[in-house]
Formats: sequence, structure tokens, C-alpha cells
Amino acid sequence: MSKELVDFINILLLDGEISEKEKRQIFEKANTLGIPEAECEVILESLMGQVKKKTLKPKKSVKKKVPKYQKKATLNKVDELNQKIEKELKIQENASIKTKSLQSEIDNHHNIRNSLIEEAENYINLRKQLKSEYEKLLKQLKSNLENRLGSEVLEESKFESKFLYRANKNSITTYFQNATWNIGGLTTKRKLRYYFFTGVYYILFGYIWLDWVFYSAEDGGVISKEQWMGFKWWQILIASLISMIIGQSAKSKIDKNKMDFNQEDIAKNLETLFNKNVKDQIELYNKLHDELNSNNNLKSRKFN
Amino acid sequence: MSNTIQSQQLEELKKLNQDLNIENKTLNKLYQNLKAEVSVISKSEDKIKDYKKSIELENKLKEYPSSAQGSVFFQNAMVSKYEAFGKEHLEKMARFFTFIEQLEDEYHNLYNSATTIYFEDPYDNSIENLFKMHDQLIESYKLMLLLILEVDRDQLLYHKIFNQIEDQGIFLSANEKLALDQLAAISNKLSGVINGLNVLISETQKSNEILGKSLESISSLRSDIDWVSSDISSLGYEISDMQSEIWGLTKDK
Repeated sequence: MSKELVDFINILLLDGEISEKEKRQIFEKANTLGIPEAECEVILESLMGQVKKKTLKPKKSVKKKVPKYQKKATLNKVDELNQKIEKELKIQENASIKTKSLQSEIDNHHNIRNSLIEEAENYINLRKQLKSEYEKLLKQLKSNLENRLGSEVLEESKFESKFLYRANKNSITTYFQNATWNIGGLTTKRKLRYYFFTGVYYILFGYIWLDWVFYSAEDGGVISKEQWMGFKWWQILIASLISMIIGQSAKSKIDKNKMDFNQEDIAKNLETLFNKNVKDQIELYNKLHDELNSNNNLKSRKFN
Repeated sequence: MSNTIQSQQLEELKKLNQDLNIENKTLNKLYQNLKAEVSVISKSEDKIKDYKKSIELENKLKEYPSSAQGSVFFQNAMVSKYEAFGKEHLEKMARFFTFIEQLEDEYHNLYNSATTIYFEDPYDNSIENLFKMHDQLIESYKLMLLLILEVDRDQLLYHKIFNQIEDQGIFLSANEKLALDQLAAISNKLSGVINGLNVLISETQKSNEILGKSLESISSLRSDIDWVSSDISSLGYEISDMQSEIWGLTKDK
């Protein structure tokens, strides 16, 4: 093998490739150096093979990557956690003891409470009695007032039901002052009064007139000095005139269609009716009712 | 009913009501105290439950590796097979590597967070997310391993796997993934790919039993890993080396 030929080929192979032109030059050089064509071809292929190997080498020498491992975490809290669990268990134990004690106390107080409730239930008769007495008192009060005023209240709802357990002087006074009084019944009374007195007037005055027109004093007429049914003529005349006035007064009231009393009269009458006894009684009834009711509220209270 | 009697009755009633009021107040107070004690027990039970959960988590977290370096391991393992992949597939594999590296970074963050927080709040999201991320990593590693193993062996299987991964968008570029805002969504699809592959593996199990087994066992981190050495040794590694290099575990574990 000619060293000169090898060096020549190596120079041409510096770029890693052999062109056709270069190949021709190599064969010419070999011919000049007296190297056969076949031998030259073997040398060329051998050198090209070496170059090829060199170019492939870097691919195999890719540097290996080195993994970067993270430090493992220190996981050692189990003991601490177990201690905490122990602590919580003690807390639970204490709480459980307290709970039992509280439960027992609650049971005791429930027993006391139940006996008190039983006692409260015995007051059911008092409740009935209170209602009846209260209604009776209110009815009496109303009746007395109506008698005093000579009229009746026209009620939408019963007075005693309205004020049961909550009566007081002011509210009752306001009630009667704003109430509708029975004017119809009063008008009937007034009419009767009008007809009666007007009738009496006509009878008496007619008698005097007849007596004066048809009888002389000598005949024992009115004008005479003699008495008629024990009355003198002028006394009968006065009675006749009074009857006329009363009759006309009743007529006038019928026409006006008004009561004989006003709100002040109602207040005055109630002031009299609401004496200390009545006032005390109503106050007592109200308080009793409140207490009974409050007792009821307590009864219905539940504890879970 | 006379006034005198009623007055007495009123007094009796008042006393009875007072007594009942006192009993009610006492009972109220007692019930409040009882509720407070019951609440103490209930809170304490909750705390114990949390502490037990923390202990359970600590034991579980101890089994979890602090590192996930599968991307490095598989890159090294792949060097000798660059030519087998070809330029186009190699480019896509690079994207798969980027995707796995993102999962690994997330895993490291979650590991740090979970191993700190489990003591104070065992229900913190990072803990469950860590476990989930670990599963996703294993699934990614399975796919990567399959691709590397099969690229110069069973070409048909290799392409089936490759196509299935491609269909799930795992080979999308970072920008494409960002545009889809789908890193998490793609991670979730991994299990879909694995399920699909399991069917694939099951079908080819008779001819490729070894590969089927390796898929089953990679999820285990314990010493009973049943990797088939002939597969892994083709990459120039022992099973223990591989496990050790991926998770940073000691070989004797």
C-alpha cells in the first residue's frame, strides 16, 4: 500500500465525502504510483468506511442524563398524633362523666317538675269557677247600668264574652260610651207616654169645655162653686195643662229620636257602679286568670 | 267563691308558678350544660377521626416516592433507539416527554405540600391529588415503556399504541395544549388510553404475555414487583435498576 496514496485519499476525505471528480483523480494517482485499480478501490472503500464510522460515533456517545432526586419527607408524626388521641380520649372520658351526672340531675328535676305540673292540673276546677264568676259579675254590672239609664245596649257580641278575663274600668266605660243603645224600645215607652198624657189632657179639657158650654153654675157645672170628683175646676184645668205639656214633651223626644242620657252620664253611672269591691274583684279575677294561664304555658313546655 | 278564698288561691298559684319557673330555668341550664358536654365529645371524636386519618395518611405517604424521574430514565433508555423511531415519531415522543416532565413537576409540588399538610389537615386536596397524580404518572410510564420496548420489535403493536396515544391529544404541542387548557383533561385521558391498551394487551396476551405482566406490575412500588427481566434487560437495565431510577428508591426495597 502506498503511503502517498493513503495520504492523498485522507486529504480528499476531510469533508467526509468523495465526489466522482475526486474518485477519478484518485485512480489517476494510483495509476501514476503503479498501484492496480482493484487495490486502489479496496484502499478507498476501507478509508471511506473509517470516516463513516467516525461520523456515526458521536450519536452513540449521547451523554446520559442524571436524575435529580428530591429528598424524602420526614414522616414521623405518628407518636405525636397518638398522644393527641390519648389526650382527646381523656377529654371524652371527663365529658362523659359530666354528661352522666348532668343526666341524673336532669332526671331529678324532671320528677320535681312533673309533680308540680300534677299539682297545677288540680286547678282545673278553679278555672271553670273563675269563668262563671267573672261572667256573672260582668252581667250584673251591665244590667245595673242599663237599669240606671233606662235603656239597653244592642250587642253584636256578648259583653261578658268580650271582657272576660280582661275587664277594667276604662275599657268598660269606653265600650258603653261607644255602644249602640236600643232607641226603639225607648221610643215605644215615649209613645205610650205621649198617648196617655195627651188622652188625659183631652178628657179633662173636654169635660171643662162641655161643662162651661152646656151647664150653668146653677146647674152644678164646672164653673159653679161645687167640686167635681173632689177637685175644683181650676185644679182640673191645671192637671189638663200638665198632661198636655208631658204629652207634647214625649212627642218632641219621639221626633228628635235621641237618648235621654249622654256619654258623661254613662261615665258617672259607671263610676258609681265600679265601687272598690267590684274593682278589687275584677283585679283578682284577672290576676288569677294570668296565673292559671302562665301555669298552662309552663305545662306545655317541652325539653329535649 | 268568696274573695278571701280566691286571694289565697291566687297566692298558692303564684307560688306554684314560681316553683315551676325555677324548675324550668334549672332544667334549661342543665340541658345547655349537657349540650355543651355532648358538643365537647362530638368535637373530640371529630379530632380523633382527623388524627387517625393523619396516621393512616402518614403510613400511606411513606410508601409514596418523593421523586418521579421516569422521564430521565426513559430518555436514557431511549438513546440507543433514536433511529428506530424516525424523525417524525421522535418529535412526537419529545412532546410526550415534555408532558411527563410537567406531570413530574406537579407530582413533586404535591408531594411537598401533602407531606407537610397531612398533619394539620388530612382532608387537604393536595393529598388526594398526589395519589391521583402518582397513578397518572404510572400510566404515562407504562405507555412510554411500551413504546420504547416495541419500537424495534412488534411494529404493529407499537403503531397501535402510538396511534391510540395520539388520538387522545397527548402528542399535541405545548401551545396547542395551552390553547385547549387541557393539561388536566389530557392527564385524565391517560386512564382511557390505558384501558384501551389493556384490551389491546389482553387480545395479544397469548403472544405477548410478558408485556401484559409488566403492565400489571409496574403500579406496585413494593419488592414483589414482577417485571420480566428479558424485556427490561433489552434496554440494558435490571428491574430493580429501573424501579430505583424512576422513583429514587433503594434496590433492596
